[in-house]
Amino acid sequence: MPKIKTKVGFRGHTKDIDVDIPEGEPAPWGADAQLKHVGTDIPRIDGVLKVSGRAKYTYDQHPPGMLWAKMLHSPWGAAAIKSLDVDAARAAAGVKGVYLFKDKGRPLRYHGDEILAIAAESEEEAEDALLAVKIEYDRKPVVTTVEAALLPGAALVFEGEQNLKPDKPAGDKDKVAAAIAKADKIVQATYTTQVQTHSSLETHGALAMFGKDGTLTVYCSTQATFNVKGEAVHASGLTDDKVRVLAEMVGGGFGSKMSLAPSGKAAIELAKQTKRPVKLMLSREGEHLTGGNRPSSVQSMKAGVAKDGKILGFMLESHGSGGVTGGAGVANPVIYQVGEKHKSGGSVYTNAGPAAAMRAPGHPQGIFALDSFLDELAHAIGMDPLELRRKNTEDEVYLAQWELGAAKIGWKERRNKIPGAGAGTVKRGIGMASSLWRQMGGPGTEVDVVIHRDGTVEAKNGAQDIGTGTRTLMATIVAEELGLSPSQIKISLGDTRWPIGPASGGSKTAPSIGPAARTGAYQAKLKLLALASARLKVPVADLRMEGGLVAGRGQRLTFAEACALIDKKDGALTVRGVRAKNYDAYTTTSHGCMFAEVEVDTESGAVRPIKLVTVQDAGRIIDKLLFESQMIGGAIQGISYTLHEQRLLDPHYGVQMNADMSTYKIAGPMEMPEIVPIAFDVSNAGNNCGMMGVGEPPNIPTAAAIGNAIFNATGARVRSLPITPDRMLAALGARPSRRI
Amino acid sequence: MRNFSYVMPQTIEAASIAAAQKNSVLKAGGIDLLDLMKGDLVRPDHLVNLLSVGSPALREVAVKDDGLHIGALVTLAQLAASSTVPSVLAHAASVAATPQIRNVATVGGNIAQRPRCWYFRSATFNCARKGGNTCFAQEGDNRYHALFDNGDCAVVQASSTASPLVALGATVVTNRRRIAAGEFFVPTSVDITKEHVLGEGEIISEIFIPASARALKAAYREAGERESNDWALVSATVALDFDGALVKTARVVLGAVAAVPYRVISVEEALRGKPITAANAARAAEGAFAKAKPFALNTYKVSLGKTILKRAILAAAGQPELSTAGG
Repeated sequence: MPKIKTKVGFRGHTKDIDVDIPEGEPAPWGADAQLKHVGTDIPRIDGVLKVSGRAKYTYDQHPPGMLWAKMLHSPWGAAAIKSLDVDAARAAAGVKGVYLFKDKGRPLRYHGDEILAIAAESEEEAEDALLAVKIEYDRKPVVTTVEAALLPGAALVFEGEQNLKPDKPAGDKDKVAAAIAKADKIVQATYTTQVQTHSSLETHGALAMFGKDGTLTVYCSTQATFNVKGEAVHASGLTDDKVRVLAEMVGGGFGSKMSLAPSGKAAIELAKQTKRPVKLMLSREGEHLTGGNRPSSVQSMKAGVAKDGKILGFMLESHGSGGVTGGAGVANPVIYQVGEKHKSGGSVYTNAGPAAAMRAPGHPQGIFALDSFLDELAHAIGMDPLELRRKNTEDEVYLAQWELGAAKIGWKERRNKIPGAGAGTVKRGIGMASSLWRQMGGPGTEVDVVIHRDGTVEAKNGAQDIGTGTRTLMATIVAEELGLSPSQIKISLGDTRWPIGPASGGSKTAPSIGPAARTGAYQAKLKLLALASARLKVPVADLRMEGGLVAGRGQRLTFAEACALIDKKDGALTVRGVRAKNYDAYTTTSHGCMFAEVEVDTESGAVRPIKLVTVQDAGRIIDKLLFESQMIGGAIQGISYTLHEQRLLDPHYGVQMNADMSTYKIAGPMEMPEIVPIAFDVSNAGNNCGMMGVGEPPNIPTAAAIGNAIFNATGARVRSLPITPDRMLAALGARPSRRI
Repeated sequence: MRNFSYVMPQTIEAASIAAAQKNSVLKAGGIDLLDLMKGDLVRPDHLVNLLSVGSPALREVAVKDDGLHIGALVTLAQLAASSTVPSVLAHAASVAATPQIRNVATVGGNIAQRPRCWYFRSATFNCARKGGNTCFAQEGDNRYHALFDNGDCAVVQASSTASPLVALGATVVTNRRRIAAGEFFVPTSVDITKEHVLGEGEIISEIFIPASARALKAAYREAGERESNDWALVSATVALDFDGALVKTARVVLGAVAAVPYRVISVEEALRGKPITAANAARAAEGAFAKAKPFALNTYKVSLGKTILKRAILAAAGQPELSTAGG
């Protein structure tokens, strides 16, 4: 393995490190690399397709002979199917097939639990047939909240299994107690967060088509074409080579579309049954009920802090519910040193739809509590909250980002020195919070780079672009390596006929595909340079590819002329770029922070974010527009989580009362503040592009930053999300001895 | 959505005959109706589309000597943009729903819309308003529900134009009669299965606002959880007739607190003969909610309602609503 020296770090903080580069890999772009496209503003290459409505999503696929399928969901939070008769539905107009998920006697554990699906000639006929299903339910008692599910004698979600699944406690309780005992102030607080549904614009679903040649083609709204393929192979009983999964465009994926899902399974079963293409897309209601969600949490914290701001010990007890699934833990990443630590708690079953990984799983809820709590510690000892954070970290990236963000929001000048001290009914305040993420991508991804004899260039991978801009990233990287412009590169994604690619989870798509694309382009370049070298009689080492030219030692060919040297018989140079293992890097974490200014109407409880400054690094920035788009999108979804979204279940029946887009309230255009993204470039090495993933982390700190700004504005602390007017008014009413 | 026959009458008379058939419903903008049909809550055999009636008067706002004649098919967007309708009504229309909905929703449909109560809207719950025995909101999730007359059914009046129309003393004109806006809506004490007094085949042709309303100083204020596409948590419309600096008569109508636009006569009387001051407005607003009976999850609507009403009173009198001084 060749060892090379590369410059890493960020402005004013660079250094040289030695890294071992795997064989066949280009050297990583260092801090001093001169790059033409990478790091600039490259518009999405599929942007026009999308805004003109020509982009084809799974929803848009209508092959000849296609049947529409619709799903019947449990109307109750807990029930058993007392009787089920589908004869009338089967006989209804247009009906071609019925697939049962659950038959008579089977338990239904949440509102939305899948019962059956019906395929018919038209969407309307499928819906009418659902109304013709004769079904009776035995309703059962429900538990809908963590608190209720933990009460003695609470109804059990799963027979014979406790509702609480405890996590293994971490840390030494006695050591924490001893550390806290030495503190100048001890602070305790409990925070609760709500369930947030994914609410992707394109609901879950798939179109399944069996071919006369014994193949199965599945279009699926998915974040993981290869996962879906594996499940489709299993569901169809076909061999791997007979199954193809496509996801040309995906209408939203925040972590809930990692599998074929019951909707896709039913589409395959119904296609098998009817020998016709079958499309099943969930209804909006079905999507809210079963499409996945961010679990709730109840987090009790206790810590001791010294007068100088050092946190000496920290305890957290956390319970959350992901409905009928576990995985409701909260994340407490090590952004701050909190001394001795103890963490306990667990996931709690409730009669509610299943959780699914959602944009930084565990983090927004964990950071809402943790960063709110840090402000409470600072307040307890009369210290500036940012100063308290500085006392508990040594990370130079955080320190630099906080300085940038604080300057941009006006921390020194505009923040209330005494919370709530501003005059008038409507008060302003400023707050902040931070985030941490780890994602450098990794092996298991391959990209085919094809340079055709006619001068066209393609790059192909079977994974999906869920809207983050993977196509544009690949084009930018390949273009950089080949000295072309991104618009010249044709990208093929979302088809399992192309080489293996990642599932889009954990923000790993870009840093897995990007370096593989660069490796492919680099190796293809070497082959093309060899041909050019022979023609120009210039050694490969002296040739460069830039500005659409192959040139060196005063000799040159246009890119097209060089491509014409490719063997006629082959017609193209094809190289498979294989994603190498990660190697030594400047940092394995990405950092972020958000500074918020809000306005609170202290009589109506209305909270209006005025300005959000969001700072984020994720290694080298490939396309600044896309990077900022993720930062802004994360802030928007964060505002929505902080102030509006919440799944509401009736406490007695377990029925979701707001499974639609009018009562499940997502922030709209009128709720948007000024959002200032500060994309923070870090030269990182680690992989040949020095890239990390950025999809998730910008969504993490919003709730805590806004909550802290509200406290600074009003002196009222809201410890529950979302911060709706009722909660804001209650917190204002509970303020000690301050008049509104 | 189940199959139905689609009727496109050319005249109000033909529409009325079609609507009098068994199991017919009238459609104007269709905003509320299509939601109800998709949810299988309304299953008409005949859908009578009023938009096919050609009469221009149905789509115009006409200023005449006796007052303002607003065609029943005038859209919320038309109201919002109109310089001839009282500004309180234009304002209330402008904050309803979304621009897309306001472009299609009609004023007639807006005041005749069905409640937004999520138990009423859910096919799973056979609630009292749908003929069942139970009002599920009483013990359920009642955060958006009524504060007044809520013992049998807790729906709230969702129309943002209804309260201003009542405050302005408007009349709902149908093909059969004239109904004072205040008598158009059905309180829960009278009937919990209907929201308005229209009979079968009865069609709103216009909303009439008398010329006397021109002298009123009026304002509409609402509080919501969002500004984009949301219903008010509580709203207040105040219309004042002044004699110099003193209030001669007052109309005070709260929205989203009862099944009907909720007139608070005691507050109207309390304001009479007095000047509008911040203290008077606050005292009046306090009194308006004395008889509120909040549920477990909507007590916040009482304090929110007081704030909104106080602001509406001050706004109607042209006085500042927010304090800029003091902590």
